[in-house]
Amino acid sequence: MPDSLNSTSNLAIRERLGVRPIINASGTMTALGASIMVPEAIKAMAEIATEFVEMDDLQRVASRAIARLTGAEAGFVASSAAGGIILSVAAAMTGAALLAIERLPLDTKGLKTEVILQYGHNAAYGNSIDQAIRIAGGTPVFAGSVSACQPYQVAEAITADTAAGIYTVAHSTISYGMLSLPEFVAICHARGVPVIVDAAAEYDLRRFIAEGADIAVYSGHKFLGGPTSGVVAGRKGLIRAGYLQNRGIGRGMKVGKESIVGLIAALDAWEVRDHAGIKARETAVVEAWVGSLAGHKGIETQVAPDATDNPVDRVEVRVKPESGFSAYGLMSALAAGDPPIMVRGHQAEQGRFWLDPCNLHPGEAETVGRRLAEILNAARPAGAMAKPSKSTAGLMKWPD
Amino acid sequence: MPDDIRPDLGLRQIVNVSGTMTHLGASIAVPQAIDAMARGLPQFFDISALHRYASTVIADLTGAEAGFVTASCASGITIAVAASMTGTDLLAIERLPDTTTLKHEVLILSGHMVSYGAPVEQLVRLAGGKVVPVGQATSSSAYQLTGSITDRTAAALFVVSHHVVDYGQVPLRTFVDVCHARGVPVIVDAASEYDLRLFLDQGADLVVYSGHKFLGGPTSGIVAGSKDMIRACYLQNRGIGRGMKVGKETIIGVSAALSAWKTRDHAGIRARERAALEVWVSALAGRPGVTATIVPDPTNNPLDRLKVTIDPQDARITAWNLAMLLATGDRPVIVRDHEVEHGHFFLDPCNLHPEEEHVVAGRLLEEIGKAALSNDIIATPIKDVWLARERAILNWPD
Repeated sequence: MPDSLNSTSNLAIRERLGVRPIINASGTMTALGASIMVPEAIKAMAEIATEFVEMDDLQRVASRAIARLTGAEAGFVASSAAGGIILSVAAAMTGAALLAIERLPLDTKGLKTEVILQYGHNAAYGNSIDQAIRIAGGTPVFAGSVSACQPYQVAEAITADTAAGIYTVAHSTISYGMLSLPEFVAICHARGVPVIVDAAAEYDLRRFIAEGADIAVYSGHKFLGGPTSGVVAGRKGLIRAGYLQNRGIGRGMKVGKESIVGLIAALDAWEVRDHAGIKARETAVVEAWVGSLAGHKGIETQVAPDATDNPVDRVEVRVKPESGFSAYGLMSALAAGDPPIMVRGHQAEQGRFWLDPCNLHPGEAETVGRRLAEILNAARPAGAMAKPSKSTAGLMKWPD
Repeated sequence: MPDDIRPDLGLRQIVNVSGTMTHLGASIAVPQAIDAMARGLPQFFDISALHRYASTVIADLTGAEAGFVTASCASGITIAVAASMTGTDLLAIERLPDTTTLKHEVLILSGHMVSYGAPVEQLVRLAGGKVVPVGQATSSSAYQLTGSITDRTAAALFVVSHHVVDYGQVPLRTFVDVCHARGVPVIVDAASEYDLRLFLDQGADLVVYSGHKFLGGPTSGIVAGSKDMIRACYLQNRGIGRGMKVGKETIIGVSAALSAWKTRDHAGIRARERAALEVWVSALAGRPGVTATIVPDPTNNPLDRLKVTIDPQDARITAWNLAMLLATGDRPVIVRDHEVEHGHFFLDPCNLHPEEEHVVAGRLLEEIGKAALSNDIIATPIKDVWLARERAILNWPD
């Protein structure tokens, strides 16, 4: 038995669990525990945890909160943005037909099942959009190629079996050559096809609905700082159909009272959050990191705006061979240190990574700057020039 | 106790004598879970390490080699089925629910094909499995199970629930013997069961529990079993499990609830529940048309409930009308009414805050007293009640 969670120990919770305290300069990542939850959400979750509540009514309250923040007609809380997309696809296929809801996913007799998305939007985010469509019983129909999508490629892909179009907004999509959301919406709506926007990691809670999306799906635990959850906002008929999936494939993806209440509190807090103050703190951190990295041979930095126009700047760190490190080698040294520092390394093979200032506790930015300087001033460790590994060997050993 | 948040949200302060029901917010979370969640929420974790920690806690409590936390018991079953089909083949995991190259038939006794808010067999289909019903609704035999196993059989699912047909079914030990003789792993749905060791002891390969029923954890499921199969479950996070993912708060909260389970005062809780039942028995004594009987739990959990049988002639009201009236007013009382068309409902003492047993008694006497004065029997045809419920479902969020 590991150190008990119930001990009266005052050790910080990660030490009590025997898991490493990490500094997150990566972003709001599922694999690292998402975000720093806002205190309002934590308090609300603790308050509801001991009380009983009629869940249909609680989701009604959530619907009103989501509608207020997004400008949509209605909304519901899903277990995650990934779950929200699955339920949205299911909703577009079944509508409010209760038996069709129970028959999903493989028995889709009589239902429209095709879901169109631009090829470059089939992102992987731990799993993939196409699997999210398939798990609901839908058939992904890819439009265009990975590097270009023309309007006719979407328009002519629409058939009598088309249930929906999905539009992905994420740093992990192809960032050029794709249709804009208003273009995609216009083509779909001309043929009566609803559009679902995957906006998992987006700040702007109104933009996609305003641009014509019938459903927009957000993460509740990224910028919002709520519990692990998804926010599904959209037209009332579709939202109702999405909620009704709780009687079918949505049941395993259910959310509890604590997540719904926590998310409502996070949405309320979002309305009064000091966005300018947060941005100013992040800007100061970014500037300090640029300073810590200045003057090291082979290390170039640049303040980089967010790939999908969120109001976040990050430090892009380009690691040249003359530094004695590869980007992956430097990332690995940061992660192996004490405390471990996780950076945003999904493009390490291109010789760069980013430092993200969004998820820091007080003092952690300084620690990151100090560790960067220490590592760059010290002798190069083994593996300093290592190339990114795609090995799944560690994964396959879990839980060992 | 923290402030009651329900009035702030404009929600009714219900009293739950129904049970640990998803649609009522499951259970009263234990303080250890609430505390651990609040402390974990502002921190970052390597989630695979956190899952590894939870695995050791689940193993400790269940006696299994390993364990995995899921979003709910329902998703735990879907993931367990997926794991039995894919093993640790990462591409097969990404291809689900396409099972073209995999064994994908899953056996379930017909008497176990229940609905718990959604159909249990849909949990299998969601993973890409093909449901193979075995036997008839009220009878099943070992030969039917044996004869249903083919070279495409991936697993067999055994459901333990108050909803299953409770006679004429192959018992778990026989079920396991038949399946294991042909190399078929057995998954047990033990959503609402107290005994965290029994089903593994009886030979189950994977057992799935709810984390938010008796355990008093956050909304979650627990899968316990052999290390290889649990690893294959965990790897579904790279596939169909992603939409059913759990966050750090849930993993931490359910681990804390499991640890608390070891030191819980089970006897003290049982005594408090017994006292509540006795309050209700004395309140109902001598009321015309009302019969109160203490009954044990149908799946042998250490829990008694009060069965309240209503004779409409003498009580001047049907059981279902009484249940509906109890659910109205300033202190709505929600009873356990899944058999109400037979003229009875149950009062479950597991989810009461201090003194709420007296609120329940007061509301019972109030509504029974009013009905007793009625000239006409208060009786809505049950089919109308059901149809109204169906219509109400489709009204949400209005």
